[in-house]
Amino acid sequence: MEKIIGLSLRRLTCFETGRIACFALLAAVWLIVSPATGQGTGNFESQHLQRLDEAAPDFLLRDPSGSVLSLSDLQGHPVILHFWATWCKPCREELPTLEALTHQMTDSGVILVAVAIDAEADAARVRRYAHDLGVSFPVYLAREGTISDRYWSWGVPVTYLIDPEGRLVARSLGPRNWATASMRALITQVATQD
Amino acid sequence: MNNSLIGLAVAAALSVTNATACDYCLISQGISPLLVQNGAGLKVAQRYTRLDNVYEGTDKVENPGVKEEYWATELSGFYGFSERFLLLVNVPLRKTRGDGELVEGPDGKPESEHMTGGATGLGDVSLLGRYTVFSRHTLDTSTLLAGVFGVKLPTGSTSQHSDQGEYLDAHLQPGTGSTDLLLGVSANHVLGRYSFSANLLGAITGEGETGNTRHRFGNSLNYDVTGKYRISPGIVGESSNELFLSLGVNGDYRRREKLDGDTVPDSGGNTIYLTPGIQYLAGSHWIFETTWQYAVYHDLNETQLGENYRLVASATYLF
Repeated sequence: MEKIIGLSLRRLTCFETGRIACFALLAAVWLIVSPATGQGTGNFESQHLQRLDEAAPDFLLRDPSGSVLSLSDLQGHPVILHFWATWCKPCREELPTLEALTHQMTDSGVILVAVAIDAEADAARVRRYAHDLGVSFPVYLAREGTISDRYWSWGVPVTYLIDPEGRLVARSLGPRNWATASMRALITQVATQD
Repeated sequence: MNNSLIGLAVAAALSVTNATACDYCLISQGISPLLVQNGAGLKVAQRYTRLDNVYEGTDKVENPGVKEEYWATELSGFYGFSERFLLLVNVPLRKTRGDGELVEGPDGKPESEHMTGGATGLGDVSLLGRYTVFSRHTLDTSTLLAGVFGVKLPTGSTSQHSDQGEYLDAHLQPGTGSTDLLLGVSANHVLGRYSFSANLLGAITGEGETGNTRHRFGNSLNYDVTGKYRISPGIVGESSNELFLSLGVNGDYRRREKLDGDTVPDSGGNTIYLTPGIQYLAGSHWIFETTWQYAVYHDLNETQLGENYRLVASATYLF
């Protein structure tokens, strides 16, 4: 142990141990109260988002009217790609906050694509379920289109932020409140590729 | 991690001590032990440790009838202040039981000296911080490397007595009486249904008072490497519940202890465990897991009681 830590531990008294412990505690407090560092990664991390940097796999989804939506059609727009399921209780709490976000960012060019990954529930039931939650944005079903299950291999709800060039820039695991000023600022940052 | 001997004179004269129990296992081992999720949560864990084998170095020798058992109920709370920094508090309640104490007989072989007793009470509270120094996420993988630092406080009692009215051995006391510094590293990699974790947690121990002696447990290093596989569902989303199997190798290395400033020859050493486990995620809030840590290798200094196995079961609630 001494060799690993690289200290002369044999001479470490109880008092000295206490001093080191105090230093560790002070370091912990500093980490807690210090602001997120810098731009970009720091902003994402301060919001509990994982930073990604890779091309988003393309997809084809059909809306209730039968028209097709693909990721490549959305080039030039920032995209919020959200995955949920009717059996997922946290999703039920999160969807209304996405609805509120869309109303707050109507002029931003941001496009929300919400995909239900239900394997069994039929399309009518899924859309009725979303409607009952007050969701007005279109809801797509993963099994009605062509989309990689790599997107939700982490579970649901999971949400990706995609920049106007079609690159994944962040991932949100689990539910969150999207209708906040900090999230709007973050999405604006993605939109402007700042 | 406690100390106090059944009799200072006996312990000083005889070069055989009681067992080495793993105290930092409380916070350093299990399934992905140091990789608690971001956000906030509470965890309740129950641990049972049994020691009734005697070792001389790496050799198992006849046990003259000595046994120790440890139960620990731990309540842990954790809170992620950001994607990088997480704070964890661990509050253990300990129950110990010892039957007999190893001493060296006239022929040099270990003998059991009459002693029975145990203790119950609050153990030593630990405060740990984890700071992620490296993270890389892709659509399919996630890799994290974190530093861990903290302190174990002397909150547990160190003056409980055996049935014979003597102070219990330090290992059988609920607390250690010392303030210890904890330092470690934690690595984790997730690839689809597979995940791998590796952890090191070192403890730099201070000196504490146990009964009427000054005792210092040896500095220690806990280590583990664990692989985990999601057996159900094949694709997350098919079910709101997930089941994992895990297999790990973990161990404890501990330096010799000191009693009133003198090194105790029969203390410290290395024990390695093979650890299968099951983890069940029920919905979005509950995690249940159990592991069986079976000791497969002992390399203990001089003659000591060694651990047979540990059983750990826990339930975690994520807010």
